Amino acid sequence: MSIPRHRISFATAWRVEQKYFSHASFYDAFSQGGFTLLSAITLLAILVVFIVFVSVVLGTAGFDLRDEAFSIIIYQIRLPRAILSALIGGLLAVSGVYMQSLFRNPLAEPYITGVSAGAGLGALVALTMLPFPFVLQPFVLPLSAFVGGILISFILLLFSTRGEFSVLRLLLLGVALGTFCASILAFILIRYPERTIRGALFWLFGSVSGASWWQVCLAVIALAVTLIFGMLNHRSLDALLLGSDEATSLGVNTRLLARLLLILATLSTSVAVAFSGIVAFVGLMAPHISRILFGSTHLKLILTSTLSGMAFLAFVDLVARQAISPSEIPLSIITSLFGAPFFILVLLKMRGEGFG
Amino acid sequence: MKVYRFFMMLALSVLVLCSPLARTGEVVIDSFGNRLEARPYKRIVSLAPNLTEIVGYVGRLGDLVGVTDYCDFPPEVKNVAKVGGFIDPNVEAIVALKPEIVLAYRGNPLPVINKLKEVGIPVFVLDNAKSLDELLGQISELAKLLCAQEFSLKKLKKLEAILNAHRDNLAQTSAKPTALLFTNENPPFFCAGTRTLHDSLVAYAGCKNAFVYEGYAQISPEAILKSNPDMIVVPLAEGKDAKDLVRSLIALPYIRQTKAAKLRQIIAIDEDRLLRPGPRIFDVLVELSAKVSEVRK
Repeated sequence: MSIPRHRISFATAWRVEQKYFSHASFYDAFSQGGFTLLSAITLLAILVVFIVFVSVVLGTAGFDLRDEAFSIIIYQIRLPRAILSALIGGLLAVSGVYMQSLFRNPLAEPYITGVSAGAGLGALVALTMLPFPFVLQPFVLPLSAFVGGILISFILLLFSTRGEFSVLRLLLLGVALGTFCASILAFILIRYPERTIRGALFWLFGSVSGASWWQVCLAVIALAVTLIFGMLNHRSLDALLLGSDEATSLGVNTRLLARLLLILATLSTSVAVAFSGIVAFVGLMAPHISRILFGSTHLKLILTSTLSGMAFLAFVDLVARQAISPSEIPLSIITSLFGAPFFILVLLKMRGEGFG
Repeated sequence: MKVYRFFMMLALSVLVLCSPLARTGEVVIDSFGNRLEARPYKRIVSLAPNLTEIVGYVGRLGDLVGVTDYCDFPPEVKNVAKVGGFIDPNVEAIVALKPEIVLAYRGNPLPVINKLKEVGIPVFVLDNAKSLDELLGQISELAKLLCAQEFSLKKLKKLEAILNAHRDNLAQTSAKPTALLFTNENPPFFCAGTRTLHDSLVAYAGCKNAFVYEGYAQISPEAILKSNPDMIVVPLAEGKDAKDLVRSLIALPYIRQTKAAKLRQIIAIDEDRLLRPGPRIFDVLVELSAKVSEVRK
């Protein structure tokens, strides 16, 4: 799947940016001179560590090292929570990068393609309709979220392989599936108000208040697998932006690449939804901001968007915890507050149709 | 083996029956199947308003160190530290209170419950009660868990007596007045169906529930008209006037046409007393059953 370095130059990638991502003019100044890959990554990593550090220091219970119970609050509550929120931000961001490259559409991200909604629906079904005893819920809930997400991307996958590979069709299908899931979700909410109004709100709007270390471990593994795939295949991903025909002529197995991309994007989204519920728009914002600041060749893009997604969601969770403490604001309420105007901005700035 | 187990069970039940007062060390099982030791816990956090009411009812209000923002009864809990809402309790605030036990109800987020268990705090979780008998069972389990039976034995007996006094209503087969119990006060209305606590409340009060869906669900205007109930029970929000509420309901044509409206049997009951699965719902039963006897005459 990898192609020789000389066959796709930076100039090619830059033309691709010009064609598909209209804010090229913003960032070419930066991407040429401003930040090298290493300096960008170092800067973002410092930012992530700083936000995690602040999240550990700030909290409802204050900061008192003399108190014995306090080590529990630091090591078992604040630290895993801060790290998990960052990891989920990273998972959603990298998932967004893959979907945008796969669909060659700047508006693609897990929330918009319906994969998040599918996973959320899975969780809600487990909460209300499946005849599992109350006892089994802690196990069934995350699993069911995963199944829902996989199901939606399986349908996406099924349609993408039949006949011509049509990007437009995939995206429309994603929107349709998302709407479909949302309508079932709403129906369940009306049909089962006693249970869902209370229990499912957590899943519907996103929260990491129950973060623990085993979740952190799983999220690290998922993120590592997804990132390594992208870093190994970054040149093929660059080629994919030219269109599947051009990529094929450059020696990329586009069909296989597309399938793997979709599976990995779903994997990372499902892991995120299983641990935090539905968090909107992170997968849209992080890649776009990274493109503006650091350029859009894939090696750079994947790493910088993952890190900016991490910093962003860790910050959002900090706000969610502290704004109306001791109560909390669901994550999606805050991310949508930033995300919806951002979405419109991207839409306005999009040159042409935005897809190949 | 089976015989052995049978005798074990028999011995165990005899033991339980013979000792009205729970002893420290006795095991109480929650809705998750978790086994918790009964002890006079001194630092209790309650994550639901109804659980707070039950703790107060069994006389252990003084040991509550944390409650939710929605806990407002008994009035003394206003001074107890708040740990966030019912669906968004703050783990950190709970742990900082160093509770010996946390009481949770269905609807509290599972991740929070799991997290608390993970850091070594025992959590006693109760599922939705589906009948008044089940609720009474939950209240006495909780009393047992907190070793509060000494203080509350009389009170529990009183609740049991209320149920027993109305038990005839369940068996009665003669024509009963029909009733709908709404769980909100504005359209679209949600209604208590079969296998719910409020279905049981209506049945104990001597009515037949006119809504035959299982669980709580939305009821359409047509369904209200068609079921034509003799009584409608609605929750009354705090600070609202019962007469205003009834007037606003009668203004809806599909309610004006029902027998309940014509007989002036739209009954507004304080929402917290009516809807919280706590001890006060037994008083509601007494009130409601008095109204039903009126209708019968």
